[in-house]
Amino acid sequence: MKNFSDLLATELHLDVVINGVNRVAGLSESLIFDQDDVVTVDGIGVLPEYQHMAVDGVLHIDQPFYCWYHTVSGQGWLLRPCG
Amino acid sequence: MRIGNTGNFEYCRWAMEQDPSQSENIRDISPVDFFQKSMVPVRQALLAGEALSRCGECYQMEQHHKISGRQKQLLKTGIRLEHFEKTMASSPWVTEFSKGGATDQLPQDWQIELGNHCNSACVFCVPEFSSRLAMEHQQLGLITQLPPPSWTDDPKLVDRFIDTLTRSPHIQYLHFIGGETLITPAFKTILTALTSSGRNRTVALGFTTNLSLWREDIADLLSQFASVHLGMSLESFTPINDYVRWPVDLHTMNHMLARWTDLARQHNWYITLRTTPTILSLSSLLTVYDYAWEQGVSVESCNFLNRPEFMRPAVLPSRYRQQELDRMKAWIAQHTKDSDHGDIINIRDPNVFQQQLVQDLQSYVNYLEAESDQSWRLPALVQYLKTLETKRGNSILDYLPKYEELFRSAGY
Repeated sequence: MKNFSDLLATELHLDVVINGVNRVAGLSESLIFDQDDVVTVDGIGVLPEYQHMAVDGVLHIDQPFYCWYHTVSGQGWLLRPCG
Repeated sequence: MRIGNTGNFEYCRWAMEQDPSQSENIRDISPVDFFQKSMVPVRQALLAGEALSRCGECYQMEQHHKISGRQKQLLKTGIRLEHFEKTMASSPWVTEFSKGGATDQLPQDWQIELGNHCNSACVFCVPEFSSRLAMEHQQLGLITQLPPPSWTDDPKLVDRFIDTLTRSPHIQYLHFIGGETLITPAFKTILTALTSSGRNRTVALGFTTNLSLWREDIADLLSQFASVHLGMSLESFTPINDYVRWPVDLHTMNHMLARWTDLARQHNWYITLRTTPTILSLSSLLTVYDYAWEQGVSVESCNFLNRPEFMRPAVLPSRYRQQELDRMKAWIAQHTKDSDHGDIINIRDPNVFQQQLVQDLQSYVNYLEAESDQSWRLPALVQYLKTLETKRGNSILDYLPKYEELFRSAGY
């Protein structure tokens, strides 16, 4: 990728590994895991690391993974456009 | 976005200095027009993948694994250098980026430079940032004319700026520097206006003070803000601080440090020690990291000092450098935990201050190991110090006797 146009033209995926099984997910895809799964996304530990965020036994990531990860991993403010 | 001491606008608080007269100014253009219109070419260049020359200091920091302003600002939009493409494509701002550099957004993050009103004259500072140093330079014949007036000297410009802030509903962070913020009238004026408009309930406010004084009225105003980032400037807990941050003495510094820290702890403010490591303070820099470690606060510097060139830590010759490197490496080894891994980009996360301290000090190790020996600048350093000392009546040899031979060899 050399510029923003290239980025927009590139199909990007998340590499999700659930209990040792690989699958591919969309960058903005909603992700749902059982709280007892062992999960990494692009090599980033998700479960059991964030097991405490599961509700009723399910960890539901209902926003783009990297936005969710920004928040849960303590990266500070995530500014958003207004309007 | 940044407004400089003369009212000049810059696209980023870390953008390398250029002659302020070359920049657009609040006297001629509104902050909103600068943000929405004048910054379009900068955004276009970034979207085209260009490396901007004015971003050079950030690239240098990243080269030595010091967290750069670029990294910190990118992070606020959700973008990280690792996973760059995916985090950028996932950013809440990707639709804005798709507009080719145009935007109808308003600034959400400001660095506000209030002018050069300052009661200190740090040896590494420049007249554009210290009125006291400017006067001294003029008296010593180092400059022929004083820097241009500060934009905050004009109440109409301050009002214009306040109007922009109070009309911007989504401002997240305002960082104030001087000069010395506490003695600059516009600081109180802006804080008062933000409080009156209710912005104090939503804005995070940062400021840096030189630990020379206390202002009860300012403290009262600050206490009304939802979030405050307190930056306290110091270089060392040894007497060299008196020489470098002249004329603030250690006793005053420690007293003010304790007083501001007490206030910060009462209100749960974020505390950081702001350093500007130079060749003069390098050998006692660890006293700052020791203090920070014990007190649970972070250490932050804007960059690796570039100007004045003869103050750079890289001016220290290799044989002297090695001593400092050995001590820094020993400190890092002693304070590194097995669990430390990965870069801390959000260096203001108080939960990881210990890892942040190790990471920051490591960046100086990387810098000192990689940067070429610039000891050919030593004669210029010695000449400058001797000139200042004729007026200040002090001597660097009293503060750094270990470098006497070095400074003598350079003309002291």
